[in-house]
Amino acid sequence: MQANPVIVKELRGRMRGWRAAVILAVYLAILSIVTWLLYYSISGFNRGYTNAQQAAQTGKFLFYGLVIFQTIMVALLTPAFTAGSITSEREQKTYDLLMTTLLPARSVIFGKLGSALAYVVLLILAVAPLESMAFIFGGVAPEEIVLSQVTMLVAALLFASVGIFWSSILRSTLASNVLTYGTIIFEMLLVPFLFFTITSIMGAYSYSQSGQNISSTELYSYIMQIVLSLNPLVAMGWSAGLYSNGDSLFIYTSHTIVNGKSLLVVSPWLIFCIEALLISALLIFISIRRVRPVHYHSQTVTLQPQRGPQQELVISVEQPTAQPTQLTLETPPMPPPAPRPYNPPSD
Amino acid sequence: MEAAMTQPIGQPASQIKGPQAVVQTERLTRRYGNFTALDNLNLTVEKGAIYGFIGPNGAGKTTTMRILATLLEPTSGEAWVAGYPVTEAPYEVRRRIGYMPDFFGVYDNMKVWEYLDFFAAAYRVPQSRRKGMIDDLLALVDLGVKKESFVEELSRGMKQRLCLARTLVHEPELLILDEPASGLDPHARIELRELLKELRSLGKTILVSSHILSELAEMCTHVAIIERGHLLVSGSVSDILHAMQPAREIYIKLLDRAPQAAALLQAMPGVLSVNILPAGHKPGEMAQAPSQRQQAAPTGTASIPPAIPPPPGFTPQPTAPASGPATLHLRVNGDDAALGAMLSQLAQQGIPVFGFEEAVGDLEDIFLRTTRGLVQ
Repeated sequence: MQANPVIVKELRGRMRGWRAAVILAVYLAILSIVTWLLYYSISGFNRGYTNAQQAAQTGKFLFYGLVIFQTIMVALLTPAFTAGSITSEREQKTYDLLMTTLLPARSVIFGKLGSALAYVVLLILAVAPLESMAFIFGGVAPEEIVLSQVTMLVAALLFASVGIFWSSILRSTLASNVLTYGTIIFEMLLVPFLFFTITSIMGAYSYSQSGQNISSTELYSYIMQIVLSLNPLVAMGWSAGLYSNGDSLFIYTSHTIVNGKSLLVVSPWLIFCIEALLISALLIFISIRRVRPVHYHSQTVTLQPQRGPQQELVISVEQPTAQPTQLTLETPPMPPPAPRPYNPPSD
Repeated sequence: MEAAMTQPIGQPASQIKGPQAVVQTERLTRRYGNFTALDNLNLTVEKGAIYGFIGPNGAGKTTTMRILATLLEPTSGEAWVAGYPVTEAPYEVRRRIGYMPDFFGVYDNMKVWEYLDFFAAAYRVPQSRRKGMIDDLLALVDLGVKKESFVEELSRGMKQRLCLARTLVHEPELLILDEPASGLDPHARIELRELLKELRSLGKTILVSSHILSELAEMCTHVAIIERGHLLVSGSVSDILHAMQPAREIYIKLLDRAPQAAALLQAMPGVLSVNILPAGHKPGEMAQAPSQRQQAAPTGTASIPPAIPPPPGFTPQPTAPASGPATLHLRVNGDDAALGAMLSQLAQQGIPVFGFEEAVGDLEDIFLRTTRGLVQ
């Protein structure tokens, strides 16, 4: 079992010298400042920590503040590692070299994806000491920590896949970056916005004569869960909110969301993870197909009969299967030559 | 491929064995929309050849090479590398070729040995063998001292040699080099040529393209001239030269007794004509001499024309000196042994010969003649 050569190569390049360490240091410095600001803002409210509940609030605030900020950083950084991964091979003219090796297309894609994710995972794990400061105050359950980290990792996979996808489809790194960030902005901001505007236009939140409107139907509830959970921040916050109300972090039946009806509720973070994994798988699949230079479509194998030893001289055409265009000097009989200047073929 | 046998799906690639030659194409055609880049190309590259693939830009050289490198699908026709059809067994083909594109890039932020190590890994060379092999390859292309340098810091010639070393990491049978000499200074070009000769001595078959004939003229054993997707002429360099120029042109410099020498040579077998030129004549100035080239001009096919019977009689030209230094111009239809016999005949007769040379036609000549009327 050999290591994927693409991962080895990408990590060698990425981790060389000071660059990787500097990015990590700057990233941690920013998050440290954020933690410090969060702490001072919350301690302004809860001066003196008079009771355990206030301390727990501080802990929760710190933890979720950090997680939200970290998720935003992941959303901003991950595409940068993958949006140029295939286009840069094309732009640097290394793509053909890569494609004539024995590396299958999936090794190229998984290598690019793996090396980008390895670095993002490093960034996520490096923040653990900052997040653990929340434990001093209490108020954060182990389940919340696990689900937030899992959601963040899945989000990183989704963002990386979006970058790989556009990179394999498009020719230029610039276009790939634009569309990758565009896709992520669409997914994070525009989808919730569109959901609420469209449902508003449909009258979901206005009072109706019958006392019934769209927002109190089961269908609306399911669609809302599926659509809004596309945003990892919404999904995490929503799950944390439900959890603090005493609901499960996984799957449960609720009687309170739609009056009087029992409703299956999947905790939003879980919905996000399922959606993100499905979308990522689809994007990666398309990327692998796009990276292959040639899709030989022949379904049958055509086999030429073996030939005898080739003639030494292949100038003239004397093969029995006469093919009119084969190996002939298609020069018209020449007029007596005047010395003719040689014009080199122009480019 | 109406004559081809159709095999059921699922035939293992290893059993698909095509022609014996290292490269064989049959009616290979590639169209881009309405533009036909390659039109029914039939090409045969025998093992051990340095095969020059010559033609102006846009003639279809790169298209052919990309099809052979499994980077491009032919519109129709077949191509085999080492007996494997490129469209059916691309992995088997990739295992056997080292491809160097006309424009190739190198990775930033990568050392020379890492570059080779990466491609060796990509060709599934076991890790244990890579280190020694990288040192060997770097020594071969004379980049041993650059092992720890960053690739982007190398000069263009060095990058070219590194890329050549890269094509060798999996010990391919065939090297496909697309315009390897373009953009190189004369010194680097000579180094490249020596390197290719060395690779040939290691048993590699090399398919090398250029739009500049002189780049290839001296190192190729075989050439194919391609123009607008058509193969104009192909074969070994000596055969083509012979076909295009059936008579060998010999210049003999004499101190004296030119008429006797001319009469003596005229009587020898294979001598087509003898002219006596004034002394100090240089081979390049033969424009006025009756040129065999006009008669040997290709008409339809490049099959070798039959030997032309010697013209009857010999008359010394009026301007020729009867005595004193002179140069004889001979057109001879014969091999090296016949030339040797002539020289020894002259020596036996005590004729003072001080120069004996053959004017060798070159590929540039062939190129001009075969592409005449088609290039412009």
